[in-house]
Amino acid sequence: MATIGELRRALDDIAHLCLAAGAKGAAKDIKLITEALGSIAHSDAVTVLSTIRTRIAEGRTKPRAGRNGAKRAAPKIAALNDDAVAHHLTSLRNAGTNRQLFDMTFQALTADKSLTAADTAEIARRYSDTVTKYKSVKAAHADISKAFVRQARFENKLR
Amino acid sequence: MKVNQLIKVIESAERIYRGNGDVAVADSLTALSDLCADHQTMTVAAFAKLVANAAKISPQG
Repeated sequence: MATIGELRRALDDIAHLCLAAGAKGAAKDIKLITEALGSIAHSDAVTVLSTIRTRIAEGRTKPRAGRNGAKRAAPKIAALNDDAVAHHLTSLRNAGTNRQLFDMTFQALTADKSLTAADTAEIARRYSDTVTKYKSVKAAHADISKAFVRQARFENKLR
Repeated sequence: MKVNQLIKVIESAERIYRGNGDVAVADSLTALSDLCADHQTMTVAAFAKLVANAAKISPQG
């Protein structure tokens, strides 16, 4: 049964050997390990090393704490107002390429206070058939308008 | 230096100690290389910090 002191002496010998062979980096790194093993020389090396191994493994499995020591909260996923999203989407689609109808529907959409930014973004994505991550409600509204113009132009081309 | 390179050095030393009949030290070197084996991609400096922190809270050391 070797003690930590004996293991440290063995590591020192290995470091000296590395240094003699010109491997300064290896010698320096081995010294770092020697220092990391602590100063209590009489403890059983195998026991101490297995304890350290367990401690490190436990540390890995523990959830990481935030800067203030608080656990990180799971990211919030806002529930969509499905009914409102479906209602506005249907109105927009029903407007087709009719500008007046679209304007009315679009106004109703922009005036709807029950819609969150996520709801508006979802409407914009489904209406414009994209997967864009909108940075603002304004951007989502702009995309809806563009999608309407695109659709109207396409229909005009077909005529 | 990476930990996987350190393992090679330790294993070579372990064979020498075992060949010389110093089984106890050889066994402790085996335990050290086992500890290193879980962190092969780390640098030795980072690994040493990890060990030092674990050794501080360890009741043994």
